[in-house]
Amino acid sequence: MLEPACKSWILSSGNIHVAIGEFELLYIIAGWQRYILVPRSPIWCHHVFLWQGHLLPLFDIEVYINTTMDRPAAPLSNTGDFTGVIAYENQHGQIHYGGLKLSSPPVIKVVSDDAICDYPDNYPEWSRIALSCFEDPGIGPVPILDIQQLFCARPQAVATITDNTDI
Amino acid sequence: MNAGANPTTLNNGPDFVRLSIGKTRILLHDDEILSIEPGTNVKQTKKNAGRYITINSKVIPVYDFDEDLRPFSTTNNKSQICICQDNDKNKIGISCDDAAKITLAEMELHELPDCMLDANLAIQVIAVSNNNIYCISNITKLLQLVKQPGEN
Repeated sequence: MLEPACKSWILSSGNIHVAIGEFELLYIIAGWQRYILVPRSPIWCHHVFLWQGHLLPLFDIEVYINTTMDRPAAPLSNTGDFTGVIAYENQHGQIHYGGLKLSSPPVIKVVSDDAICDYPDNYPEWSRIALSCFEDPGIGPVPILDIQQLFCARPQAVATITDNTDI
Repeated sequence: MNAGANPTTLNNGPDFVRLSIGKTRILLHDDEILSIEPGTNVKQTKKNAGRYITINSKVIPVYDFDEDLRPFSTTNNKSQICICQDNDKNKIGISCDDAAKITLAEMELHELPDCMLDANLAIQVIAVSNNNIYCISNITKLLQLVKQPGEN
């Protein structure tokens, strides 16, 4: 839940824009980073990398959304771009770290309560992976990611969206 | 133990055999490995029903995986065949680019986070040693992948 005039990082993953809390983004890695493929892992979280002694998953939100929408996934790139190192709490209250693949450097914005809006229509299941949404004057609706849901949910819980959406 | 949590460090840990398949490095426990054979000894069945290798008069099926551990059919021999045996004494050969016994000094074990676990749990633990990253598996899980080809 957003407090009046709080700060959020706006993250870009291809054509997808999302936001996370100011203190959830710990570090930005720019340029080449060694990612290692983990066999049989989901295509949207197919690599890991080492960061300060921790092994982090690399989550690609654009590929996640394209895959669940049954669209062709963007080709996986192992080089370039940016990686955001994110801190989150798991279901047991323990702090863990994950990586988000970014296509440009994050931008910090001040967000106020009166900017709350509906989710964008580029993905009908935003409520599964987002907590809320705010309107950015330059971008439009920006969902606020539920980081725990991204990194703690098993892939089997992710269903491909069909015409008959269960409510 | 999950991503970001403190890893488990093993000093003078168990011996493993490292299989290289493309860019993927798989570790199997040494006690699951019977031998490492040259890939040139692999034969094709007459009706193209798969490949096999004969060791001590026993016919052992040979399987090929890509670096995403998806089984596929091929007639091309890789460099080496790792002959493995699971708890039920099932023997299989796994075709690979390279296989060698390895003892990892100061190996750190990291469990994969839930968001990366597939239905087969083929890989659950990653080993890190000297900045090299290995995927730990076992024969039972690899056999399950063979029995379920083509799944995501």
